[in-house]
Amino acid sequence: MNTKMKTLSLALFGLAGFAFAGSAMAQCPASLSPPWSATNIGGGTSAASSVTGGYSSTACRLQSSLGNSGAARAQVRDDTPANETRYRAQFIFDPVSLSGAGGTNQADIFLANAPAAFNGLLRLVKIQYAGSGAGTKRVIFTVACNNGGTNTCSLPQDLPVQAGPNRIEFDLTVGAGGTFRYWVTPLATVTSDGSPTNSITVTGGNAGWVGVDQAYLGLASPSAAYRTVNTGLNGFFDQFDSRRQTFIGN
Amino acid sequence: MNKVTSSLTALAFALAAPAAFAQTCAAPGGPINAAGPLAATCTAVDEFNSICGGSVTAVGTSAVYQVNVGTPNNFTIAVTPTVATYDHAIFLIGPGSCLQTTPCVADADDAGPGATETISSGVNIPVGTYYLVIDSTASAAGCVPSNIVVTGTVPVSLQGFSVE
Repeated sequence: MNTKMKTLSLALFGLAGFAFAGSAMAQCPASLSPPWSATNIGGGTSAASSVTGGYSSTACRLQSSLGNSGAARAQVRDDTPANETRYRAQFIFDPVSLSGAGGTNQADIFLANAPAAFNGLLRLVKIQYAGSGAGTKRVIFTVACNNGGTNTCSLPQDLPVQAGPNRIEFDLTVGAGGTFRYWVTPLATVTSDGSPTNSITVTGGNAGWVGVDQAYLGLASPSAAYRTVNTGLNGFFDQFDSRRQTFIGN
Repeated sequence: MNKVTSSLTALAFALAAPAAFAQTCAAPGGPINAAGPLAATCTAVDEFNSICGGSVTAVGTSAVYQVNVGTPNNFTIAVTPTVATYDHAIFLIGPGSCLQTTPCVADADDAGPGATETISSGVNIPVGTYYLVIDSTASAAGCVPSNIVVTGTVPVSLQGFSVE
């Protein structure tokens, strides 16, 4: 079985053919699709593009900013997953330009969706960027769980690097005994499969959602508080990788 | 010979009586067209936890209205809540399906509480059945009655054709 589904770092493209005279800057791809299945940009002056400044071994990164609309989104979409009952994904998220002010300052940064809604909910995994109320930047992991109430189980996690890149990874299993573990670490930190940052109890399991069928990466669905302080500001993403079985790590 | 030809909806189509209770995907209100305005009621159903292919979070209860689009077409839909504090978002999804995974043709959520949200279809979107979803990204408190105004050209699709 091919255990690796997708590696989508925004690599350096076309230096020889497209470098502008007098420019020493890296040439990033003009289009995000391919390698991504599609872009999903809308709502006000939202924008997503590949820009220089990639992390570690990559030259380019995804830059995402949202307009002043609750329906704003500046995402890339991966259609590679096919009802995956085991789904591991990792990406780099850098909120350096974003404000962490306000406890209701929130926007989605990653979504893993089921093929169809169950109990009215489509999202198997949602990761949001958020403020803490005290100015600390954090992410909120929300996973679908058949708990007989909200159908969601969630946990906030402060970002270890407030003004630079963080490595975010999770490991989701789908079924009656569904599980969810995650790692949130500085870019250079060595991680291991057996030592996640934390885990979320998937109360009631998550079998009804079948599996991960589509993923979105990038900013979306800003709260009113997010739009107040972060409209037009950039979040950065890089080195997306998703797999069925093996730990991605660093 | 019976023939239904495409024409400007504003001239040719009477406003369908709005459904009193059901504005869901299974039983949408409308169809809405340019003969309005239409006074939209509201259900307490939350059919859309997400919308626009599952990419946008929608937290409010929703009301769904059918929009039959023919050719040529180029129209705008404006929706105004009757309660000044309600901040709704509007989405035109389709064609042919009314699901969280259905793509958005157009959406608007930038006017703020009590204000009119307006979406434009663009010129000549594919013929078919679309759905106007009135929801909210700001509040789960429940949607409120709204006034829907459609302007432009939304000719209905050919419904039947025969030669005798």
